[in-house]
Amino acid sequence: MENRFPISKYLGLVSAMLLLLFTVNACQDEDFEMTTTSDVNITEYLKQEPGRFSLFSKILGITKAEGSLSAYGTYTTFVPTNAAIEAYLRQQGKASVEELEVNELTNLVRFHLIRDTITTKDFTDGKLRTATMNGQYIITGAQNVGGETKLTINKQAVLEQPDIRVGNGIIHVIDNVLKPSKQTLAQMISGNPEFSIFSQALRETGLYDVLNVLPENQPDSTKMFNTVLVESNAVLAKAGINSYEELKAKYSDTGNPASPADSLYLFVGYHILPGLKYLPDVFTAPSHPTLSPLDVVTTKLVGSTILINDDTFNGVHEKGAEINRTASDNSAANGVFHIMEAPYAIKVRFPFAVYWEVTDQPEIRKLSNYRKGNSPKYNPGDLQDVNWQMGSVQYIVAPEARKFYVYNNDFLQFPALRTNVAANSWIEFKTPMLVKGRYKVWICFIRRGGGGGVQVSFNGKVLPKILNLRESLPGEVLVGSHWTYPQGVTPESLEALGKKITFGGRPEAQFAVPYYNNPNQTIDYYRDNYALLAGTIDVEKTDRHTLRMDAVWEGSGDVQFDMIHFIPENEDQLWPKFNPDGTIVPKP
Amino acid sequence: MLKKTSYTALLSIGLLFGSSCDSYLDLKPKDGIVRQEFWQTKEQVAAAVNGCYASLLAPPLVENLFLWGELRADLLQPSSGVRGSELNVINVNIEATNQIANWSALYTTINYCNTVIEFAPQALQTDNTLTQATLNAYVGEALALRALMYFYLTRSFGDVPLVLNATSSDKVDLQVPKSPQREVLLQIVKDLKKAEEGLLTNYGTQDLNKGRITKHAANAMLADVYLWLEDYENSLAAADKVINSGQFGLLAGDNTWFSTLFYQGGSNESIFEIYFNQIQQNPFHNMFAASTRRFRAAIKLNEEIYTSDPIDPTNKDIRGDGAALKMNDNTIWKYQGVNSSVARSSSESTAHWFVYRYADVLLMKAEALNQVGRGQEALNIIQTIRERGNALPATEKVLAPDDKDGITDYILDERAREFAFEGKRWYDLLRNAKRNNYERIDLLLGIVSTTASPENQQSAITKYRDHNSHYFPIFHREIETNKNLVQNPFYQ
Repeated sequence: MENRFPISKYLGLVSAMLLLLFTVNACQDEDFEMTTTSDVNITEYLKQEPGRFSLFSKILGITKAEGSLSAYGTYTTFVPTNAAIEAYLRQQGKASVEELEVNELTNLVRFHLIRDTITTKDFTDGKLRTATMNGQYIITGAQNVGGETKLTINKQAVLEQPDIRVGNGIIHVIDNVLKPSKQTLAQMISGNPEFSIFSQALRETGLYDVLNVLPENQPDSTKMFNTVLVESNAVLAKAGINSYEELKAKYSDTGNPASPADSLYLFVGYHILPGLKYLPDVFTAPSHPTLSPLDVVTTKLVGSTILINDDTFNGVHEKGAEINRTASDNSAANGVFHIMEAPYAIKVRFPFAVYWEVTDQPEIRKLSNYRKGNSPKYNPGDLQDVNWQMGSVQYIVAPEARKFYVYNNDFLQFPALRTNVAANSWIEFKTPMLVKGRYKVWICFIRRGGGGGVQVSFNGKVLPKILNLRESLPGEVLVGSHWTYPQGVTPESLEALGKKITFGGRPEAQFAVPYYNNPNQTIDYYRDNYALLAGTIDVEKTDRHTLRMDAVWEGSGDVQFDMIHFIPENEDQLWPKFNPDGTIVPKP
Repeated sequence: MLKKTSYTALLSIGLLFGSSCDSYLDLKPKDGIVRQEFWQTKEQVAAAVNGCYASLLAPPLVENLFLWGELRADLLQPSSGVRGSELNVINVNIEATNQIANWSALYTTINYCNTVIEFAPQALQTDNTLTQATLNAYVGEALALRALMYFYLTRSFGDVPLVLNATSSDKVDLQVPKSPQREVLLQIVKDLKKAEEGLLTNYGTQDLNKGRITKHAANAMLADVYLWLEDYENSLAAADKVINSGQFGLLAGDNTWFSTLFYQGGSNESIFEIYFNQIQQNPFHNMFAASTRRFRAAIKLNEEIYTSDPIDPTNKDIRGDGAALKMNDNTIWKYQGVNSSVARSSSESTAHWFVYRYADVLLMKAEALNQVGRGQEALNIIQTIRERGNALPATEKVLAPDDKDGITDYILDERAREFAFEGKRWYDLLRNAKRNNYERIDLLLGIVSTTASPENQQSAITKYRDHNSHYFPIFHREIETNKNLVQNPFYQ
C-alpha cells in the first residue's frame, strides 16, 4: 500500500508544534501549595500586626525564640501588647527592650510560654494545667470592672483577646507583662510586717530555711515547692497570741523550737503543705499531709468558703478555720501561700472507737427513701467512698433486711468476693476519720454464700487473718420465748475466737430485739449475723484511710456488710451493741 | 473517505440537537417543583405550613431548646455520658466554637416560615377556593412560629439577626447584621399580634388544636414576651385572653395526671406542644435513659424543690417523684414515663415537647400581677397551682401581698416544681434577674456557685456579673460567613 502520509514530510512541522506545546505549557508555572496548611505560626502572626506586637516580636528575636515559635509545635503564648511592654520598660527604667539583659528577657519569654495548647475553656480559678517553660505556673481568674468581666492572668494582667488559633498553638493577648516571682516563700512571708510573728516562728524553728530554697537549687524534686497557710498577726491575736513570745510560751514544750519534736516546730510545720497547691488544689483533695509528719489538715468547700479542719469527731462537729480567698494564691518562686482568716492548730486527740455503718455513704444518705427502701444498683464509680472491681452493689433495707439483725435494718450487698477473673474480687472502703492510735477492726456482716476467704488490708498493709464469711456460728436455742446462745457458747468464748454478736444482749424491754418470724419472741444471738475480728491496725495519721478486702477464695455467692467497728485496742471490744431498730445498747 | 466522514459528523450533530429538542435547554428540574409552579392552590399552602411544623422535629432543634433552657440552670446534674461542650456551658467556659451555640436549626425553620409568609398570598390569584381568612390563618401560623423561634433565639443569644424575608433568590441579602434584643422582642410582638388576628381557635380535632398554633397559643406567647419587655399590663391582658377563652383548665392532680398530661399529651391543659411520633422521635431517651445518659436530675430537686414527707412517704408532690424525676436514682422521668412507675421503651421515645400549657399561663399572670402590685391575686394563683400539685408543706411560704421580692422567689420556686425539664428554668431565672436593670442578679449568682465545678466557681460567679455572659456567643461559623455579624462583646 502506498504510504499517503510519509512521516518525513511532516516531521519538521510536528516537532515545531510539539516544541511550541511544551514551551507554552512551561511558561505557565503551576502554583502548587507546598505547605500542608496556610495557617501562620506564632512568629508570623505577631509580625503581621506590628502596631500591637512589634515589641514582643523584637524580644522573641533577641532571645532567639523566634525560630522555635515559627516551627511546628504546640504552644500557648501570652503576648503582651506594645503598650504593656512599654509600661514594663518604664517600670524598669529602661528606654528600649535592647537595654534589658538577654538573660532577663529569656526568662521573661519563658514565663509567657507554655508547651501545651490551653484555650480559655480550660482556665479555672487556679493554676493552668501545665507549667510555663520557666518552671512556674500561671494562675487564672476573673475580675469584673464596671459590669464587664475580663479574665485575669496571674493576677498581673487582663486578657484582652483570647484564643487566637495559629498553626503551632494558641495566642492570648494580655495588657501587662507577666512577671515571674523571684522571691522565695520565706522571703515573701517575712517581707510582710503583718506576718511578723509567723515569720519569726519560721526562723526560730528553722523552717525558714526549708522555704528559702529556690527550685533550681533543690535537687529533690518532691521538695521543690511548698504551700504555706499563713496566720497573720491579726489572726493569731484571735487565738490570744500577740507576740512571738506568747506563741512560744503557748506551744513550745521542749524550749527548743528548732527541734522537730517541739510542739512549736510542729505547729509551724502544720501550716506547711508539701507541693504546689493553689486554692482549687487545696479544696479538691479532702486532706493534705503537712510538715508535721503525723498530722494532716482536712479541707472542705462549703458554698464558696474554704475551711480547714472542719470535721466531725466522735459525733461532734468542730467548726473549721476559713481561708481568706481573695488574699490567697500568692505565688512565690518556690511555692504558693494562702492567708488564713482564722487560726488553727494541731489538736491533741485520743483515739476513740468508731462504729461505722458501711451504708453511711453520702450518695445513699441522699436517697429520698433512705432507710425506707432499696437503692438503685450502683456500678463501680457511682459511690465516692466505696469502690469495687465489677458488678452492681445495692443498699438494702427492711423488709428484706428484717430476717437479719443488722443496725438500722440496712446493709450493703456486693455481688461476689471471689478470685474468678470474671467476677468481683475486691472491695475498697474509705473509712471515716480515725484518730491516730491502734485499733481492732471488726467486720460485721451477714453470713451468705460468698466470701469464703477474704484478706483485709489497711492502707495497703495486709492484716494477718483470712476471714471466712461463709461460716455459721453454732445454732441459737430457744429458752422460754427467748432465742439465745447455745450451750457452751458465751460472748467471751466467742471473743476468744475473734467473733462477737453485735445486737441485743440486755434483758430490758427497750433493748429487746424481736425474733423475725415471731414478734412475741426475742433474740440476742443469731448464727448468721455476727462480727469477725480482722486484726489490729496502726493508724499513723489522723485522717480517713483505706480498708480493702481481697478475695483469696473461689466460689459464688454474695456478701453483705452491716458495719465495721474500729475500737481502740485497750478498750472494751464487745460493747455497745447495735439493734435493728436503731437503738444503741450500752454496756450494762 | 473525506466525504463519508463529513456525512457521519453531520448526522451526529443532527441527532444530537434533533433529539434533545427544546427540553435540552429547559432548566426546570424533573424531580421537583419549582417555586413558580408551587403556591398555586390552598393545598400547597397547607403543605408548606405543615413543612414548617415538621422542621421542628428535625434534630437538633428540640435538643437545642432543652439545653438552652436547662443547661445553665440548676435542675440538671451531668451524668456519665455528658459531653465536654455541655460541661463547658455548665462551668461558664463557653467559647464561640461550642456546638451548643449553633443556632442554625432555628433559622432553618424561620426560613420555611418566611417562605410561607412571602409566597402563600400568591395562591389567592390561582385558587378561587382559597379565602382571605384561610390564607390569614395559614400565614398567622407561620408568623407565630417564626416569632416563637425568634423568642427562643433572643432569650438565648440576646441580639440576633432579624431575617424577615425568604432566602429565595440571589438578590436576598444574606449578610444581615444583629438587631438589639428589644427590637427583636418588639418585632415578635408585632408578628404575634398580626398572627393572632388571623389564627383559628379550632382546627377540628384535639391533636390539631394542640399541635398547631391557635389564637390562644399566640396569646400565651404574647403574655410571655410582654414579661420579657417588662410590660406587665399587656402581659396580663394577653394571659386573660387565654384564661377567659374557657378552652383550657388544670387537669385534676390525681394518679392519672402524669399519664394524661405527659404520656398521652394533647390534654385539656395543653396550649401548644411539638408532637413527636414513632418516625420522628425525641432526643430524650439517649439524653436521660440510656446507660450512657448525659443528664440526671439535680439532688436539689429531692432536697429543696419537691422535698419529701418524713412521716408519710406516700404523701408526695405529684409533680416530683414519678413525674419530673425518679427520686431513688435521680433519673429524669418526665419524657420517659408511661406513668409513675412504668418506663417507655427505647423505641417509644415520643413524648411531646411542651411549649405552653395552662399552668404556665396562670403563673405568668401571677408574675405580672405581682409586678403591678396585685400581690394577693398572685398568691392566690400560686395556691391554686400548689393545691393541684399537692405541694408539700415544707415548700410553702407565708408572704405579705406587698412582698414583691418574696413573691418573685415563690413564683420561681413554683415554676421550677411545675415545669422542671420543660426547658424553661434558665429563662425564668434570667427574666427575673434582669428586671429593673438586673436588680435580682443574685438569682443567677446564687445558682452558678452551686452548679459550676468547684475549681471554676469563682470565675463563673465573676463572669455572671457581666450581663453579656448570660447570652451565648455567636457560633464561629456564622461569624466567618456573615461579615456583618459582631460577636457578643463578652466573647471577643
